[in-house]
Amino acid sequence: MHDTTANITPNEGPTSGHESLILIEDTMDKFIATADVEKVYGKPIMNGETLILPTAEILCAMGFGVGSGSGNQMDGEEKNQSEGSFGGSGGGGGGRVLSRPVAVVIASPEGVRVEPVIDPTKIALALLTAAGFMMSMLFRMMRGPRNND
Amino acid sequence: MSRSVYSVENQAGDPLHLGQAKLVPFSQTVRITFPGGYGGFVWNRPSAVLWQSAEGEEVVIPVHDKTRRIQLSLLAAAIFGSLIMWIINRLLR
Repeated sequence: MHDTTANITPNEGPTSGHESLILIEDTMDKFIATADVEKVYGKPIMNGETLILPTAEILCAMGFGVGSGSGNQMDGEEKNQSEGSFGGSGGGGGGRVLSRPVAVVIASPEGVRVEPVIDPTKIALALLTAAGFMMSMLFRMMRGPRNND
Repeated sequence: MSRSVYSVENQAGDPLHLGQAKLVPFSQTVRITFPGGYGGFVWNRPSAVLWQSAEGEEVVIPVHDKTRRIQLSLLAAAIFGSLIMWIINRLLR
């Protein structure tokens, strides 16, 4: 399994709101690009007359936001500030990309077959979770109804 | 950034040639975009491959995710097993 984490902070340093928006749009375009078919199928491997094509599933989630605000100078503050009003903007976001091998396509002049890639760790975890869920249900039933007195 | 909020699309990749035979990969993409375009979710997975033999015979072979199927089967078995235990428990009381 391959996990990657990506975080973006549009306002690192003195970037303007426009630059942040461009950065967000670029990141969004990269995010949309994960939906491409080429991302799911790996580079084909040739072994003699056999072609091996690895396949993977990609899950990508991300979110970001920007905001800006302005206000007037408060009474207790120094009056030497020009114009007497303040403003600022900021933004941030985060995301995660998960990819997992699903199967391998093996093609030869005789034909093609798809060999699944089974992840024993994930299955063991699912098995333990299922067993834990059933055991907790069983214990709850053996204990009987809860007495609220 | 005027994209639809939810979309499911099937795409075909570039065909791979193996002598006279041809292999075309297909993928399925589920995309959810947050309103305003500020992020979203993309699930991209292989769906099938189309094999066209040298003789011109075409076969579509689906690509199944066995790990996910086993995981979902175990989850379903746990829920179903718990339900059965609960029914038996109710009947015995």
